Amino acid sequence: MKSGKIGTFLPLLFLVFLFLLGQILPNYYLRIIIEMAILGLFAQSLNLIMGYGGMISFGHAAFYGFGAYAVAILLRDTGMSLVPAILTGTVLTGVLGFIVGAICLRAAKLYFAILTMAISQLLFVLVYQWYSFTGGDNGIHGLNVSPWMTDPQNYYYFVLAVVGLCFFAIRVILNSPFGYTLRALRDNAERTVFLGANVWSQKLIAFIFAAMFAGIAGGLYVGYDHMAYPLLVHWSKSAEPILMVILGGINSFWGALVGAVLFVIMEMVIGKITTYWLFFLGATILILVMFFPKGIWGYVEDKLAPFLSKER
Amino acid sequence: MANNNNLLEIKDLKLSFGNVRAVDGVNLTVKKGDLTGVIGPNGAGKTSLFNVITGYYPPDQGSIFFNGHEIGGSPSHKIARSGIARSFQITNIFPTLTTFENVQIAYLVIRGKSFNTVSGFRKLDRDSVEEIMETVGLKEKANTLAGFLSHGDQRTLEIGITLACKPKLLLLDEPTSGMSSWETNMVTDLIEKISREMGITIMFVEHDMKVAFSVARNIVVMHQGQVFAQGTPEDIRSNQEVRKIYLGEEE
Repeated sequence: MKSGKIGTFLPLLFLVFLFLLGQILPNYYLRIIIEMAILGLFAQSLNLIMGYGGMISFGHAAFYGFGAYAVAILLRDTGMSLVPAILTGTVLTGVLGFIVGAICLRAAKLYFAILTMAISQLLFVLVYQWYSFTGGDNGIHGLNVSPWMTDPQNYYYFVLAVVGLCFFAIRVILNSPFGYTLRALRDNAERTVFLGANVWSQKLIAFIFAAMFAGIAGGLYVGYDHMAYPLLVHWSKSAEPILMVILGGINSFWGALVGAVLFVIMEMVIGKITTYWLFFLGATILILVMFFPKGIWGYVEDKLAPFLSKER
Repeated sequence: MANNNNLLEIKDLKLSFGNVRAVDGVNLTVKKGDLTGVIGPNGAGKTSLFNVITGYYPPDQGSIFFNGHEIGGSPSHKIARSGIARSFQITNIFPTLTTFENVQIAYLVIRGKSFNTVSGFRKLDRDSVEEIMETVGLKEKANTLAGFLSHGDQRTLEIGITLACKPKLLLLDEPTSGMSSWETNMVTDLIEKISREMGITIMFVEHDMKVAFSVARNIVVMHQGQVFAQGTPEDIRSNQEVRKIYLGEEE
């Protein structure tokens, strides 16, 4: 398939482009791209269950924040370095994903969404109150990260590699029989039951994947900001990836990343002018939902469809 | 059970919704290779019977033996894996997947590959899926999104999906509903072909008696949640009691 080759070639070209940017751009801009990449991974992790699995979670920050706190606490208490801390944090977030998913997936649709939000708020309260372990409302500051990782350019390449690998892994998952079963569940869960699918375990595994990738994003954030604080677990943080996915385009793989990039740009540009930048974000999303229901990237993708890969 | 020729044996099956007895003591045997048409007036319990057999509702009472094993009360996905595939009265497909992918996902899920997260979906078992596409006659529309197919094609796709489930028993719930007479002929031909060439045991619900009589080799008449009569199309056609049910309805 010729078109399929272009579809895999473009992301590689994009990676090379980002690699070169790391050589040229001053640190200020590299930090912005780092943030975009981390939030892009966070959004993509949600897109996995929301866009492809039809499971809208209002509590996805639970995993982002948990991953961040896990890494922060490991760095503070065990003297672990960043990479093993992120790996450990990812596994722990996966365990949390299993527990939360097993509870929430007993319910469907809106009830599922509300349950995820309730559990994430429970976690928020726990983090906010448990001073001796999580630092309470102060969070955890002044973490020791190796000097190599502290250099913005090095960290830029580290994040690029990790996020790139995660995107590749998510892509593989989405294009596998598992990924297509997820789409089938989104389209028509009842029908898949009569094909012999165990809907609950199928969704649970997707949920655990989503939790783990969000946990990685949270861990990367700690490596970037050298701190963790309760807002990372807060429900308002859960809204961010939902907005990014809608902004970029639900049902679209690259939409999540595009949404995250636009989100950070809007926050920077409009946020400089007014603290009410979320008002403008809301207005943008309103316009998008009304006129471009497939999101910005979804719209572009439709226009480019004849030239790109057929994989959705 | 004792008789190996019986694929499905239903004994004293009951299912109620509140005061409504949807299935009210059904006794029914389906032999291997049978092509059975289930007819009966609206609300006779035809779809409810299918729903109990496929585990959509657990039976209140009675037993269902499939291939010698009790399946009554098992979850739907396990019953599906044991070899009972069904289609639905209301079109029940995956609208955002292509026609080909609809059949392919069914083919892979029933074979327990739904937890494979590393292989490329698109390349798996294409030949077998293509064969099914050929059988149901949707080859030209393989890359059309299923949601954009015509109603008739969507109904045909439903049959394709069930064929991908390596069925021993096929339960088709009004496969011709909402179809033009030309489309109806296509589907009845397809049903006959599946029965004859693939040797799959089929039970189908049909509203139109003419259609049922022309296709089925065995007719089951349901009335008020019970099997009212059973026999060859000729037997049923000459059965005065059956006529009464239908004539009584026409008023």
